[in-house]
Amino acid sequence: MTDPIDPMEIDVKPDGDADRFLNIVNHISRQNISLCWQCLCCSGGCPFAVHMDLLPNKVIRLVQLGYGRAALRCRTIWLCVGCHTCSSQCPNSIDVAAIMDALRQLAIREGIAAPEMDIYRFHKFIYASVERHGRLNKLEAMVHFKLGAGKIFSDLAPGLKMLTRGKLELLSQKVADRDELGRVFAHYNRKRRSFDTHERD
Amino acid sequence: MNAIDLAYYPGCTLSSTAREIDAAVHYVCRALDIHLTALPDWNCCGSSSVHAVRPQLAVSLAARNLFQAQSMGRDLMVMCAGCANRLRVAANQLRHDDTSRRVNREILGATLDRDLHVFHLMDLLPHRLKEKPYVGALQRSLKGLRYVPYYGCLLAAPPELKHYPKLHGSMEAVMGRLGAETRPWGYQAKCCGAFLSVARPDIVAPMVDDIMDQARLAGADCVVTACAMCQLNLELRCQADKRMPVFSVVELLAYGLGASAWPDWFKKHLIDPLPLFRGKLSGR
Repeated sequence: MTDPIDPMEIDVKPDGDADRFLNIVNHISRQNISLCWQCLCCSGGCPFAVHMDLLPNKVIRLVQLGYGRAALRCRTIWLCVGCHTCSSQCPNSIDVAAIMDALRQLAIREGIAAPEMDIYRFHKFIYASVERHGRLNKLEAMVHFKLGAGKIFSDLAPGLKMLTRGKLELLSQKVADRDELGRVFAHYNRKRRSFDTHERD
Repeated sequence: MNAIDLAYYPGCTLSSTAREIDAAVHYVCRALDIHLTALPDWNCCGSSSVHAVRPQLAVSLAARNLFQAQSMGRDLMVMCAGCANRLRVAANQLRHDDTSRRVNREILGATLDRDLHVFHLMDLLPHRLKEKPYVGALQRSLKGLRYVPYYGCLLAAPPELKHYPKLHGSMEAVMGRLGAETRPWGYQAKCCGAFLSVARPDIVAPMVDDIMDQARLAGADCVVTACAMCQLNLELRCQADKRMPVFSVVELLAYGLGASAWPDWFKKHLIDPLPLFRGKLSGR
């Protein structure tokens, strides 16, 4: 496991207010990150730890200390799938996976390029499909993902197999009350930058 | 007969990649007098990417479904482990988090007031199969089938959901009634790789192979899951020489309860389970 991010080399704490970043992450994730005492249970249990550049407990430590940009720049937040193995092992009942969710949202909002572009694109196209229809059209999202990632030929065989076995549908199922659904997305898009504004930067 | 009336949330997976599981859920519930009425206009529960990049938007998406169940005056039933998790997290926030209550009242014009319960089907089945009218409901047996129960990670819920009963043991209870033999193993709650199966198959393929290797070492002929995403990942990402049939526990229960459509369901699997099924159960 490599550890390319050296906290000494990146930010001096943001704005002189060390707790600002911590408070934002606590607010979005609805967690209390200060409870973490660095026991490493989360990192010990994480099935993806070997692929991460920072172990989950280190990401939490960076947030505690206010090193925002380092926490938002790492691969770890994108590799986390939210399996909650860490959360269920935390002796202080911190939902570590929820913290990773919050950091991902902040990374997009701050326009920080994702070091895992395929994972970023995956989220982007799934999110777009849900925003468009209210329900996920897997075929549409997968086609967009494969085109966006320039991997049109990967997984073609299993994809066709799924199609012929009726596991993927060509027509999207749609939510009837479009207005209500539109209100939900509009509320959050108004306040926070979306994938689109991220990519215009 | 004591019928149970529940609102039903199918979710995106059971209405697309795992339609056979949806069919099996309906068959099982009909046989056990669990009356399901689908939510009138359900939307994505906020699982996968939405909560991964916008956690509070995901709560609002789940809230819209919960409010529909609330106006139906019924508790909610889900079969998808991911949906169960998201809907429960949202219900918890809408009940206990003042900011969440206020914001979602502004957007959706409702608050969650009733003590709405979100059931996973596996919460109900072990107990239901023990009730008097249903003890004799099983018409077919799976005697001779050796399996490992695979719950996956999503049933290991986040800490705020600790008050929900754990589902571990529920598959063994159902499969035990069917006469199948549980093989012990340590991979019951191992993560299947979730959506990284699409974005980083290089990471997920070895994880899936490891799970399949362990199942074989445990002496199993097949893996039985409670989660459609686990089932798909195991089938899709497993190396050719490690392949082993993967079932959903409801499909097998529906078979035991006399469903005739099971060959159609099995044909949808990416790893063909028919040779194993015919071989094990022939002559009975």
